[in-house]
Amino acid sequence: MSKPMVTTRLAHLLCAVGAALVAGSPASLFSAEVPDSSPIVGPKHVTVHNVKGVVGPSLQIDDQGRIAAAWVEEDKDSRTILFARSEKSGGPLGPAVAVNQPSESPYYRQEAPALIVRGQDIFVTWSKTHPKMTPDKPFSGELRLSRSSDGGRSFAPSTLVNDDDQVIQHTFDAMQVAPDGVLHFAWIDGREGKKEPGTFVARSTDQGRTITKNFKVDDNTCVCCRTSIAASADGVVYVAWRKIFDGNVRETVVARSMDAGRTFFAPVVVGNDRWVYQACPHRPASLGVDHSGRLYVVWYTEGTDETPAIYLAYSDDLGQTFSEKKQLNRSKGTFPDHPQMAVDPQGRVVVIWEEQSPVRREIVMSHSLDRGQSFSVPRKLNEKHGQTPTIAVNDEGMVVMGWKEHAMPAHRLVIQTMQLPAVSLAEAEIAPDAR
Amino acid sequence: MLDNVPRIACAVMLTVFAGLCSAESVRGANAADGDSFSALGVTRMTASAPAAAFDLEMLGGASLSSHELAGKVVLLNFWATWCGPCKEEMPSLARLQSQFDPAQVRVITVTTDMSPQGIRQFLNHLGIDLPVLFDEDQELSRRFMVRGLPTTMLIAQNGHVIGRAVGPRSWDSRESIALVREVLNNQP
Repeated sequence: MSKPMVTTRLAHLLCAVGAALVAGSPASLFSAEVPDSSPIVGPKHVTVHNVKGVVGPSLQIDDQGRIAAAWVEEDKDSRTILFARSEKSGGPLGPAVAVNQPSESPYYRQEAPALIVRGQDIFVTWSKTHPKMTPDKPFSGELRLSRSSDGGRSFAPSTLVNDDDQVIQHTFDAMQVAPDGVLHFAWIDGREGKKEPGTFVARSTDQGRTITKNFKVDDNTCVCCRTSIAASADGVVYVAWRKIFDGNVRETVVARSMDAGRTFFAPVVVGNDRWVYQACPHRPASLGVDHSGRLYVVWYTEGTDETPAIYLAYSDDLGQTFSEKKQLNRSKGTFPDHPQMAVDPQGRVVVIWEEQSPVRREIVMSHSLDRGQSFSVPRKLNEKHGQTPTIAVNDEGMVVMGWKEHAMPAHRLVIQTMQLPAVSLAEAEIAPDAR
Repeated sequence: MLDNVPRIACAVMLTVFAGLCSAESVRGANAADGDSFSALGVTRMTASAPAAAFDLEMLGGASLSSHELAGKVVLLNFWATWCGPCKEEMPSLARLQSQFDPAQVRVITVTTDMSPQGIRQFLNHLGIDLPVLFDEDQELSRRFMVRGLPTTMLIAQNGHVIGRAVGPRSWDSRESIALVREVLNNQP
């Protein structure tokens, strides 16, 4: 094992964080460069889970504003994938339904299940403890797809997504449905036995009943940063992940498919961060596409100066080139972490992420009404220590945001909606190109 | 928000923070003195920074408190089951522990993975007998500002954080053993 080069930048940043913690209140740490455009924020809906552990949630919101959520609960030694949906716009969630069958044992992981809702069809991917797991291969799981055709009242036995029989992990998955109804899956897979795993994909053209043959998009995938998928209105499919380049350089990359996921072009580096990191960052990118085909990417990096930051960039040429990256986090007192993004057809963009320090763990949100040109001042959402934020938006600009709060001895899942202000299509279309 | 945090906890956290703030870079140390910290690529923390206190459940069901580690040199190794480099370095951590009297030096691992059966099998298969603490809600990870895995904190006998290694190391190497010996022999 080689020895890493460690610089003073992280220490300097920590110093600044510490100084800010001592000097000011959290609210005073954000500077207002862009005025807030006053979205209408709905009430928080909190569910309390008196179990040993909760992972999630993942969220979706339909065009009527009904919310759907999926998460994992662990109590004693059993884990359950759960799904719930609201009856009315904005929540609250209805009763939870088990996604996995009693005979299907979910494998522990730190990511929420991936969730897609299209009308009455619900799709959930999750990791099942590998049936051939042995003491010498204890960390192994299959990637499974569960589906419901009755709006989530019941789920059919799951379908295996990965088509290899290796007793390894198949995880850090993403799922998306394209306008033609085809389901797309991406995940990290070490089936080739190389030092670093690869990014694999598959599709389902029959509502999840069968899965196509898997194929590898690329090698040298960072083993622990979840994949992300987006599909444009005209059917272009994008997959993002963190790739390891020579010298342990970690870059967020995007690959596109112009044939509905049958093949992918070589990945393109988004931010050219040149972040050299020898450990597992465990922080995924997030993708979105608006009605004009602009592809948005949000990601975490520490760059060449080892400064934690969250960036957004976009592409107007099908992911072949990307705009200058824009830094979204502004706090001087905390570290940004775990960004997730939702983009509606008009290019209204909302990004949610964590701001952390040794004594704070906050969830903040920032939005853009001009296709990613400018962003509102980050707004704090949580009340207790918040983590694992997630977000979704419908075609009407109604956003659902969610996160987990730990409130001893229970866990809380918090869900909140927000209606974005209307923007004219003309206003969105004439936004200047930042490239 | 700070109002909601007990003052003592705040003080401890800020002290840890202060310690992190004063970290000297390995690169700088290499240039300056080439000591045992830099030889292993461990960031040295020079300020007086007590480690965050903890009391966590261990693999097996018992709990371990930081108070039980008072007076010992401690390597606190943060890892996860999905982290390849973490699993690769684990045997070397066990071999490092075998080089020292547990009454003087303790290697403790911390994971956020609530996967006790798999972890037990993994450790048994490799013949590793290191304590595993479950940091289920990542509170201890957050207090130590663990931003990538593996991360290993080096804590001196007085309970102060004196070193931080991000990424895997050969913990049974000559450099590692020399580093631990140096800490042992230079009791603060």
